[in-house]
Amino acid sequence: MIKVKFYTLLRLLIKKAEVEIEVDKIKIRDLLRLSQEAAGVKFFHKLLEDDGSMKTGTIILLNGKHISHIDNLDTIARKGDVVSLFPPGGGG
Amino acid sequence: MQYPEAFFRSVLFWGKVKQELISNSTIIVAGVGGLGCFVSQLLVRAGIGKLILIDNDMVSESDLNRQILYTTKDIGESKVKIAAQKLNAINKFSKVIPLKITIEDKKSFLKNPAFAEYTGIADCLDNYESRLIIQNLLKDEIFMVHGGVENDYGQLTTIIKNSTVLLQDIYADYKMELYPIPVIPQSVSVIATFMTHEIINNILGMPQLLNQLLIMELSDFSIFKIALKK
Repeated sequence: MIKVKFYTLLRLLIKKAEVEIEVDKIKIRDLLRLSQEAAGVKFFHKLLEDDGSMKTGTIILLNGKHISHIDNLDTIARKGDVVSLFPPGGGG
Repeated sequence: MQYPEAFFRSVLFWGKVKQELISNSTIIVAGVGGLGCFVSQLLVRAGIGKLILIDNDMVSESDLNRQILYTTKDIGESKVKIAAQKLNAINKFSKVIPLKITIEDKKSFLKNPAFAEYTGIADCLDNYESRLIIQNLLKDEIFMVHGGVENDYGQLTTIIKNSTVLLQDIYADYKMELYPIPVIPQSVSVIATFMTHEIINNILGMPQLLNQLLIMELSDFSIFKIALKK
């Protein structure tokens, strides 16, 4: 099982703090698709561009590490991992 | 050391030793906008020894919903000048140095003798480009408490170059999508309060947010911590 946690605007949109996806190993790209199905609320448009690339306004952390520093959306998440999704506050 | 009566209630809580550590510290407040106004005021009220305020901006009317050191009569004035005046009026203990410079102007930043020695930096900036510049200027063991706020949420963490993740580890190539940023006074004050507490934690040698990102959402009063990895 992989936990996908939502924060800030995503959590407000989805009205859930997290979903749990029962897989052993999956690419983040596919995990997001399953998470959207599990959440029952469309949130892809908040994370991905129309061409499927990552938006620059959102952070995706796998066990506390940004997936841009691993393999972007092709990063593999495994059973027991935690994925955190959020648009951060940019102002000061 | 005899402390002004102004700090009596704080000393009752944290004691003279901690008060002395705070009063011997110098904090650079980078950006004296929403977060910077609150952080500066709280640090002065806590009895910080020296504050160096950096901002190149003037006060505008749209700042007044959240930048608590400014009022209508300050519109058009230099933020650091007004902030220093207001902070000096709170107590005479803290030495406040206003510097009207941009963070991007690294030369004037580094040449300024005010930067020779400081205890830590409060990152109260409003964009990631400037945040990365100031992080890159950090000496290895000096702390920077980073905060960001938007809408009714925000986040903060402590950055220490030689022992924590850096901003680019957390944010990668994050770019802000909205400008001006929607923000309300409550979220700014809460994140700034948390930042001030973490600055004092760092001064006292017990930071709580090393490799931890604290996320606060006012909508349902939620606070989360995410463990960060390089």
